[in-house]
Amino acid sequence: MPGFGCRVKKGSLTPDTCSSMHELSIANSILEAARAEAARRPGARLVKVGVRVGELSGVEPDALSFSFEALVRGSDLEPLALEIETCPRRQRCSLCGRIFRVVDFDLCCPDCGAFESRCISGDELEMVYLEIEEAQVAPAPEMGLRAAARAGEREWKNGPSSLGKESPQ
Amino acid sequence: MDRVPLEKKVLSENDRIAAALRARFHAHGILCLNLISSPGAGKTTLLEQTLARFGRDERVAILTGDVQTDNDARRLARFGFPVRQITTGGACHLDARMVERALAEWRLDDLDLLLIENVGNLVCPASYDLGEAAKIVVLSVAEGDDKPLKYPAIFFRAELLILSKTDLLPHVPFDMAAARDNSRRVHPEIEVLELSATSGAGMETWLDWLEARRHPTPAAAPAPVATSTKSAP
Repeated sequence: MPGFGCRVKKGSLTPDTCSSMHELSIANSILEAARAEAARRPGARLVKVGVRVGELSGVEPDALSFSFEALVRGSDLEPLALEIETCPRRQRCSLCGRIFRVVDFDLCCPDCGAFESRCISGDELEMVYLEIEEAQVAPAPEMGLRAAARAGEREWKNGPSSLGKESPQ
Repeated sequence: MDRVPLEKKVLSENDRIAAALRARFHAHGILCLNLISSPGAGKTTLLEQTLARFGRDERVAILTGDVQTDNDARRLARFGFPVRQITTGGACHLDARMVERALAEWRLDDLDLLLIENVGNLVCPASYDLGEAAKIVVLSVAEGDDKPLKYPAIFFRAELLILSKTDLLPHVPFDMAAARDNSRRVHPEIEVLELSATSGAGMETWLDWLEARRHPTPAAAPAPVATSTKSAP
């Protein structure tokens, strides 16, 4: 994330879109982190990235999905998918210890009625996982050309039947 | 298909730089404050009137962020303190790297207060840690008193809410009690000050707040904060 929050390489997003859309720079940070992870695994293909977004994070999940898709489209990472898990605000009551979800900014403990509590979740903005398809293992060098060719033939024959079974989304 | 757990912050690169900045500020005894508001809430005027009340020997510097122009830096430079403009060229917030670069030519030994005026925006700056000791959110009475509920992220993270332009109260329907109540619904511990940089009302309270943060009594000194989040472990 050097300098600018958002750098758009392809697509129709303009600098105006950038400055009005916080989520674009967040999406870009997610992509940069995913790229860094991919660089550590040569030949692997990134399939999906999972993020956690708290309702107090200031990030709108729909806008983040939109920005993410816009950045991925036409890029080397296409068709990388994004899965967002949203996290509600939760507080722990300082008096009775009850953990409760905050709805409509109501900070009153539902058990004891106290207003003293600590926020324990809701401001997350985290990468949770990456789904990766590892590189196909190349034929071992000692296999010899003929054996390698046979292996390739088998793969080709088996290929079409295995299409469509891959990665149920 | 492999699923690789990551469990790291989306903005971990920014957070890494911010943590390094925070450590430098701490080592040099600098209090760094990050002022955030919507455009036009009066951050620059508040800073002008703050600098105007400082003695010449104050060791204070200002970083001011805008999408374009160095107008704010020019306004603030009149007071004789070091000022640097960060022009983001489109980005809607300052990030830690911009602050790191802007500080490169200053000797931190010469400072004990760094005031950062963020880009006018209540959304994006909330997500970016700049290594500050505290975020301050400025809300003018010309805006809606329900803004804390509309933009909770920044009110949740700010330590202090400054309700500005109070000289306009006779002319606007702003409900001061509602604004305080709304900000406390989002963040019960938030401190609230009211002031008008134009009339000067409330400026002393703000300067007292600054002074208390700059020279905390040992008992009141807050422990150094490692991150900007409020989450309990």
